[in-house]
Amino acid sequence: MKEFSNINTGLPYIESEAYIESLVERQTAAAAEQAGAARWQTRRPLYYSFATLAVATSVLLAVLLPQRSKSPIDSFLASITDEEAALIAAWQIEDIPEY
Amino acid sequence: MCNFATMTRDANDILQLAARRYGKRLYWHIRRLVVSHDDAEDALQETMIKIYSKAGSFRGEESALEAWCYRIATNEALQVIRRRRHFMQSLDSVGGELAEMVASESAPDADRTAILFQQAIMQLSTQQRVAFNLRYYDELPYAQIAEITGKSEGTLKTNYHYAVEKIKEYLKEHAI
Repeated sequence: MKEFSNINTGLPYIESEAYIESLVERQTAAAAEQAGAARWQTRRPLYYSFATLAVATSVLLAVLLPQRSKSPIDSFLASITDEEAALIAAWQIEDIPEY
Repeated sequence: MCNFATMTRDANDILQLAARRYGKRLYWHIRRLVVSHDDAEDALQETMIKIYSKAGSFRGEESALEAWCYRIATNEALQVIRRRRHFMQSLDSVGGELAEMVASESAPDADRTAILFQQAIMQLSTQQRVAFNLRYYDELPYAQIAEITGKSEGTLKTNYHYAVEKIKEYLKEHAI
C-alpha cells in the first residue's frame, strides 16, 4: 500500500514462516481430532440412552415373557387331575424291543 | 490439484484445504489483532475447530471459502480480546493494553518503527483495526472485507481512511 511505503510496516515479531507453517499443520491435525472427540462427547449421552433402553427392555422382557408364553403342553398338564394324567400315562408307548 | 466443485464436502477436506491455502495468513491476521503469540495460537486452534465443525453448513463456492475462514478467524480473535476486557469495559478500551504488549512480544532486535507502527494500529477502534489490517496487510478487496465483517463497503472505506489518518498522526507525534 502506498500510504506507508516510506517506513517499515513489517511485523516486529520473532516467529518465522517455517514455524508458523508447522504450527498450522499441527493445529489442523489437532482440530480434526478434537472436533471428532467433541462429536463423540456430544453424542455419548444419546448412545448411552439407547444402550440403557436396550438393557432395560431386555430385562423387562425376561421378567414378563415366562408368564406370558407358557408352553401349550405345560398349560394342558396343569389343567388335568392326577387320575387323568395316570390314564394318559397308560397309553404311553412302550419301548420297542430290539430285533 | 483439488477441484472444489467436484470435491466431496467432507469436513476434513474443507479443513485441509482451508489450512493449506489460508492457514498462515489466518494466523498472522489473528496475531495482528491479539498481539500475543499464545493468544493467536489459541484463537487459531479454535478457528480450525470451527472450520471443521461448521464445514457442513458451508454452502458457498470456493471463492467464498476465504472470506468464510477469515470471518471465523476474526470472530475468534475478537473473542480473545473480549476476554481481556475488564468489567463493563468496551472492546476498544483494550487497545492501550495491546499496544503495550506489542513491545514485549517483539523480537529484541526489532525495528523501532515497526513496533511503533503496530502500536499506532492498536490505538484504532476495533472496527477500524480489523478493516485496516484486512485491507493493508491481507490486501483484500473491500467487497470481501464486507463479507467478512458484515459492514458495508462505504463504511469500510471510511474506516480505512480514518485509520490511515490516525496512524499518520500517531507516528508524527512519536517523531517518525
